[in-house]
Amino acid sequence: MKIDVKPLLEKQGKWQKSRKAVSWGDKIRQSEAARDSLGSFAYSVAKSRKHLWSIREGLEES
Amino acid sequence: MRELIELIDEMLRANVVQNYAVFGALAQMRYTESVVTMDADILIGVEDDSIAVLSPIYAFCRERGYLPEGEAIRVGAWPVQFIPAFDALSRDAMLLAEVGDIDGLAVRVVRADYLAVMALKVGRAKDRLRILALIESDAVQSVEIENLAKQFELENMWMKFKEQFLNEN
Repeated sequence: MKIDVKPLLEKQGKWQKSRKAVSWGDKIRQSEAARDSLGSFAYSVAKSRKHLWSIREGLEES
Repeated sequence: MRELIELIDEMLRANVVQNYAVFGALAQMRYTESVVTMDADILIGVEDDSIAVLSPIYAFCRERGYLPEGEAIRVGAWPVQFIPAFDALSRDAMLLAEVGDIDGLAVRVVRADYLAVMALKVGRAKDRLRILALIESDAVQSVEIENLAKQFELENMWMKFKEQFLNEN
């Protein structure tokens, strides 16, 4: 399957060039922040799933 | 990140490792926009080529309070994977690494062309995205990837990638 990514790359390239002033250190800090926020989200999802699972088990037992 | 760089410098001074270079997503961010990654990958060069090659590194880290976490060692905010340069490609990538700058600290980092070819070799979806990101940020030209891929007998993989994603054929 061929995917024409050129127009997307060009568009993203223009956007990215405007971001080149961001230092490597700053980009790493951005990455850390995104990772930590994703981590908390994943934790919340896991917790909710566990909660829903316990409700389901409770219903099945009753 | 400062903590990790200082730890690696200490390892070099103590001759626990003889060389290193940051690679993976952390290295990619030198050339492209920020990407989310779970851990920091560090290629290391060590004299020992036995199976216990990582033992002195784990011991060195443990003495300084950096403990294992899964397959990594937690250093500050980062789980760090120390990966011995395991083949000709990764050895060259480490030896020919550039020196970048993180908050005023000098850091050896794998060049964009080597990052792309290493990603090509691994070939997961996120590795393909890495190649595209490196090309579109002008960190590397596709002809440079092609030349390096040929050098490491990965030309077929490169042609397949090019046909699928770059429509240059």
